[in-house]
Amino acid sequence: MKLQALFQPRSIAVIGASRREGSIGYMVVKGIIDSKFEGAIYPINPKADEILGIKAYPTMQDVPGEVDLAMLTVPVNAALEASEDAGRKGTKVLAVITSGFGEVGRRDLEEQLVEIGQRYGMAIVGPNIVGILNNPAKANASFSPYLPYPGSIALVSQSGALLIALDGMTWIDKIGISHMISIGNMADLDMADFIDALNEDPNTAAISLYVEGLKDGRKFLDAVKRSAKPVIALKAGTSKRGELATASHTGSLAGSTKVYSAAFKQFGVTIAKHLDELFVRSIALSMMKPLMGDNIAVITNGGGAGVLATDAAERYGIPLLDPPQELKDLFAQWMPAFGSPRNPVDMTGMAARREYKGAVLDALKHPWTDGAAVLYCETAVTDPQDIAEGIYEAYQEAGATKPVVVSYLGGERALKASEWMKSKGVPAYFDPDQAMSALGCLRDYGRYQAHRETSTFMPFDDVNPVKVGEIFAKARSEGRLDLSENEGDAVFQAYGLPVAPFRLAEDAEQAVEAANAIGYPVVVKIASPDILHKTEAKGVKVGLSNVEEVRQATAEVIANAKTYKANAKIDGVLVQKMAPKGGTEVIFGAIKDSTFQQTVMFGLGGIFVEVLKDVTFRVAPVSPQEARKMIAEIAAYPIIKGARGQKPRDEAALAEALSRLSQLVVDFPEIKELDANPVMVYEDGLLIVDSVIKLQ
Amino acid sequence: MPDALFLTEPACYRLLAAEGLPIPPHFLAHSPEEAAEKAALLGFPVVLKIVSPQVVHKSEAGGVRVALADAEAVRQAYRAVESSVHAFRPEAVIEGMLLLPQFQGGTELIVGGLRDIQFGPTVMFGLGGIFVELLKDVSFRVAPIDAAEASEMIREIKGYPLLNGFRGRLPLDLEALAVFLADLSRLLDRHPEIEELDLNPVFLFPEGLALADARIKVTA
Repeated sequence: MKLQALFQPRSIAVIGASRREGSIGYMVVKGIIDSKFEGAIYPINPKADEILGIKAYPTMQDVPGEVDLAMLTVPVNAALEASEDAGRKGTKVLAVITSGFGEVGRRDLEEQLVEIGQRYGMAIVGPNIVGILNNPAKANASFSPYLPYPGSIALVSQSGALLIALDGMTWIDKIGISHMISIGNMADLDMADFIDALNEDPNTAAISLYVEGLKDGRKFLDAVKRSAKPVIALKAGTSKRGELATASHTGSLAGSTKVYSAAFKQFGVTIAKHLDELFVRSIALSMMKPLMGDNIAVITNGGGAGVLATDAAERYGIPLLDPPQELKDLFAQWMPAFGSPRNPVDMTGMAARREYKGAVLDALKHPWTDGAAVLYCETAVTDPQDIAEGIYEAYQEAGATKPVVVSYLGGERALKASEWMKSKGVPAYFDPDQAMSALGCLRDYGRYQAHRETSTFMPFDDVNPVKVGEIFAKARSEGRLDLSENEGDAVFQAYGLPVAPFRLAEDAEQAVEAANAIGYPVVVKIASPDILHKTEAKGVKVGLSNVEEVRQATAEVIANAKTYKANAKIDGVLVQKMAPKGGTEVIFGAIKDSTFQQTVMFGLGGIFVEVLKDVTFRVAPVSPQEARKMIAEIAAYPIIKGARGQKPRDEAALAEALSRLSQLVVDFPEIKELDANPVMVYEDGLLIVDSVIKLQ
Repeated sequence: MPDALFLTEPACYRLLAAEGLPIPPHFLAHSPEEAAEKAALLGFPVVLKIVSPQVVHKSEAGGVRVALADAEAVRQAYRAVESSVHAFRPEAVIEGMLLLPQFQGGTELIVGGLRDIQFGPTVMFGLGGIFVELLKDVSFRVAPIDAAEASEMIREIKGYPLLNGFRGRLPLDLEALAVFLADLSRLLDRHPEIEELDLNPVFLFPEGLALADARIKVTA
């Protein structure tokens, strides 16, 4: 098991342990003692014989037994020497509470710390952390006052202060935690390492993250992909102002929001938009199996809660569906004549334990149902606890396979019953919105699990990377990082992306020859490495339908180019087949993100991309299946499907092209930016009309 | 619809004009020849539309011809519309044909009014075409509103940048639009008998705006 010394420590040393009340060295020792840690505790202090009644040692070398975990609490100027001491002792994991490293610009100290760790094979958590709160080992090795409420959610946080605050909150809201890990500057162990380790931890069922910025996005995604346990992330710094705040906070760069959310969705990371949602969703995913279909039954005793749940269901992507008649007939037995057996199933205010149990059991046992949300509004005549027990029995008797979430609205009795449900492993909430958010994320995770096998990227083998390499080498040898249009077209062709047939012509006569060979109508564009904005230079003539027009257009664009930039090197003109009419304009793009590296983008052209920013991203490479999901994500998707009496556009061709494009940028990481704009997509096939490729 | 009736387009314009709202220049013609004459007065190209209380969805009935470039085209269009409306709805009483200028170069908007069961008269605004159809990119207010409130309403839609000097184009006359929306909201407030009002499209220009169609449903 990875990081076993951290998750199941047999001994903990506290370097910088102190007798001074209020000091961190004191609080950490006290935390470990108070939480009733059963392993050995070794306070390290050269001046004290004992601390809080436990024998202290002058250095790590004096400690008699092995040290699994050492907490470093000395000031920053003594930190490196103390780390050496820990390393020499053979410490397995060093958790560095000490601050004053990368977060204040001292990257150099951080590098030295990591170097020490590597030399001794000692993993390092931090620096700049609150500590490690380990519920199964009963070890509160932190300066947070107590261990969190016990359970199976592991919370990894990049903010220490937030972690301490949430520690207290877990007791108020009864949020069950296995480990709380303050991850600090992530000099050595990062989010990905903890996901890998927690995936193997028998006490953890769901991995919950507070993320400000990732250093290596790909490593993170790979770990998520390996994880058999759900990962839930709250990404802070999604506002423009917020991005600034996080950059100065942890010293790590916050990636752009769009790419983060695209990457999270693509790899099945459950996204939480705020702390409440982080816990709502973590609870659900730590307790329930994913929801494997769209058929959910909402069972309630009040119309209001039912309507709220119905609205929320739509918001969270699981709109309520009508159950089959036979199931409605079953529901009808549990309600008076004025109840409603449709979805939501309203049993009315008289429904008690018997009715709740009956309806929930009927719902779960029926093959139509994939999961259920049970809502209860406290009434004067019914007992919330009694009903909770009925719901729980139904869940158990149905085999505990289909997910159930609960919303309990009411006062103290309702709250108590709701807490009891949670203690039994059934996600219970107050607001119906929370219950539906929980069910929604269970559905998203179910969809991801069903989809992850089929969406594996299989590289196309009919591509020609050698050719692309040659084109890039030639551009570089000429000192260019921007490819010319014909070079760009050749690159696309080499990866099987359809471009309008083209030829380079040096003069008017060659242009005419080219046009004759390609077929009319054609477009003539200036070909010059010094002119990037061809339209601005009046270097483009479209819709040329005969020899004379081509000859004249060629002369004109060359003359215009010379006027635009007297010393421009002019290679001639590019003669290209005019894209047929009736196409829909889309845009393909690729950018290299600082966190996730190569990404691809898709959107509808013109105002959709420019005004509405209606685009979608994925981390490359993407399979055609994943690309189809990407296409369906944009707001203007109905246009692709065929709006206003138009025939549907060729989605399969779009998906394949995006997949091929993603392979191109993965094969050539030197591509810094790529734009294919516009791409014309037809009922059958597509054509790249113009492009920009920039190298690094 | 027994409890409601639709005003014909010329009647809509009379109502709007009586309340001080700008309406497009238009003529009603009763013969192909008269239509050609009136079209010449408007200036070509023109649009010709059926006027019949029984034909509410004019395009559906083949009752609209656009971009008519000369007198002959207008005469032909008159006859063509007459026969397709006859075929579509034999019982339709044809009051004549409406001639309107063919507006060019404006940005297409949709402006509307609706009497809501709870809130009474409301006014709606959005960008036309694909924006309203696919993206439902519209904003609503409870009538009446003043021009300042109308400006807020205009700014609320996602496509707003398209109105305000998009890609080096001239900014459109948002002041005229705000005043228009405010005036329309007062009209709706004064006329509770209006159940629905559709001005679609309205063309907005760098200076001023023009209505190109109107439909009003009133309680009978």
